[in-house]
Amino acid sequence: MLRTIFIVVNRSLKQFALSTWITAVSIALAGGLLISIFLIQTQALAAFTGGSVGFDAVLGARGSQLQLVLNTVFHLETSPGNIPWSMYKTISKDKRVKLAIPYAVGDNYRGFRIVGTTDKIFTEFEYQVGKKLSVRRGRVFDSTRREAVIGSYVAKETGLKVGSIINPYHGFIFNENSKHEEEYVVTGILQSTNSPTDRIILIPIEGIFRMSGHVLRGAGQEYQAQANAEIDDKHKEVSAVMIKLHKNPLAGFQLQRLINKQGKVASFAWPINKVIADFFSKMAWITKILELIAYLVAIVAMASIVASLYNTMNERKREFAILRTLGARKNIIFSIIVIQSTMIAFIGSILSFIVAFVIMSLAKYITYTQTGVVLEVFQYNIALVWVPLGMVALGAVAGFIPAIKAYRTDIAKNLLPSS
Amino acid sequence: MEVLKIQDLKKIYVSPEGEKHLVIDVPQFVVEEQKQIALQGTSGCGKTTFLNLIAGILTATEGKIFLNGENISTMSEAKRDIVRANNIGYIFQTFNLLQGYTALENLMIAMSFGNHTVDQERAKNLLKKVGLEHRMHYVPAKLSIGQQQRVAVARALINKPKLVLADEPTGNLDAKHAQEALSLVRDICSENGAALLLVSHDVNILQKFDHLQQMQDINTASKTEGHE
Repeated sequence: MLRTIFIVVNRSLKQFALSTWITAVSIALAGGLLISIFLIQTQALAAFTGGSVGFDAVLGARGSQLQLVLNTVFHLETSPGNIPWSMYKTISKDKRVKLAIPYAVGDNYRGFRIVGTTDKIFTEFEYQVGKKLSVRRGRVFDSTRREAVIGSYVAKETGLKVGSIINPYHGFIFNENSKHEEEYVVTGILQSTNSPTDRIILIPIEGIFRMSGHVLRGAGQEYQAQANAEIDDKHKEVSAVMIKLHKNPLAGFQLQRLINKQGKVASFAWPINKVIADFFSKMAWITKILELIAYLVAIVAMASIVASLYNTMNERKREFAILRTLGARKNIIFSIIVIQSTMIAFIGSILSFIVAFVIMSLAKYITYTQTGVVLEVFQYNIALVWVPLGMVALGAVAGFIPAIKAYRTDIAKNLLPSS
Repeated sequence: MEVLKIQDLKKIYVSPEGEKHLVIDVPQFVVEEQKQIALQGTSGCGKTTFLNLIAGILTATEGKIFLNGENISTMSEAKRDIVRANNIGYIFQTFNLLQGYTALENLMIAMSFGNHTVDQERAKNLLKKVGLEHRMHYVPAKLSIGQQQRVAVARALINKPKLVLADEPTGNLDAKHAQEALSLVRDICSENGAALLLVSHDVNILQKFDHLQQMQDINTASKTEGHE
């Protein structure tokens, strides 16, 4: 009996192959979209809020903490402004601070951000526990020279090699007309870290101070660095100070209170992950809308099952009538249609993994090129189980409407001619 | 022993206007085991309705239909389906083969319902017997009318039914093929011990039967204007 049901279902799927495939593809799109939304949502949240960025806090200009974090950790957004060099010196000497690294930003090379910093970024900073930035080719920069170390993605995209000469461009957005005169030699290419660091160019912070056209306002008035003359610390300023705290549960809390509540000049973004998590929770409505769209697509896909099967019912009335005369009970006819719709949904669900793979591959590429954050194309997520199962279950339910029509097929009326 | 016994069978259709039409009124009708009976009737005299009532495809308005001793007129539709699958083979004028399926599949699907087991070898043997050894994997559209008729005969007999109903089984065949088909139906029914109830208006077919009855003699409704 079961074998016969599957023979009938299989034959019908083949007989109405075009409508079967169109319906299955619509289910695949809905399923793939749903899977992708849940994978991206979960992974993006984990990557931006749960992943180790190597720092606990960011000290920067007074303003949005989110902007500060996005600008310094993910190299997105503009800088909220600068803080005096003295603040860097003060915080770096604080007992609660384990490591403080200054960042000076404001230039790019063909759209890739240039970050002026100290060589502590190579010697002391760990982007993950036990993992320091290292060069896969060449060497790190000499702080006294115009030298640059480029991220792995920068090297891949620009074709820069060790020994290449680059000119920084002013601003965060590449503009051919805003080229700085200074030439920097690429001395090293970083190992890939699968982090935003892959997308930046590191140069000595002194280089940013001395870049033609850059004006320092650390002392309150404008100061332009002079060649062959040391820059007094009072003129220097930095975009942010990246901070690693000692393992003291009160350290971050105390510094936050000190800088944010008592001070008026700077912002202390701590903890970094919470700043991003707050942002994600504020933006949760976007993922809710995306989910809603995907659910609507799923409903449309289910409606397409109903429509495609329902439309074939008139053509199949005679087939059902013949089956009935052979002794097939009404519930067998009903089962045939429900199993057929389930099979279509099943095919669609299998195909949904391909759709999800394509969407996730695109999402991975876009996220990495835009933020440096790496998403896994297929990382285990419960959505990988319940979405396909849900689609199959919905497919079965969608089959009920045409199945009821098939169930009600009048045998005598559909066995023509009569004598 | 009686394979089929009918008592006071009536079928009334109600028109959309509410008018009642008595189309079947059979006070008594019996088919003995292995007997082959031909019913003669003109077009529209209710032959198909009568066969459909016997097969349990239609429900009677009144009366009793005993099939193998079981009164199917009081049975649920689902139970009638099982009884039909177990006891009746039905041959139609237009054969009513499942179009998307091969000759062999048509037989195997017929074996799937009721209390039968699907026996591919038996289906193949029966197709060989009706001369379709080399056509069993052909779909009906690829078979000649005569070959389709043979598939229909084989399908009706595959479950070794007690009663075979044949509704103008040769109506679509020329005279020569009609005689061949009739012989085939009768021979296989005899071999399988099945009773045959055949309805036709073709005198060339009907004259081959020892037991010939007029539909008008059985169905008193066909003598009247058909109204109640």
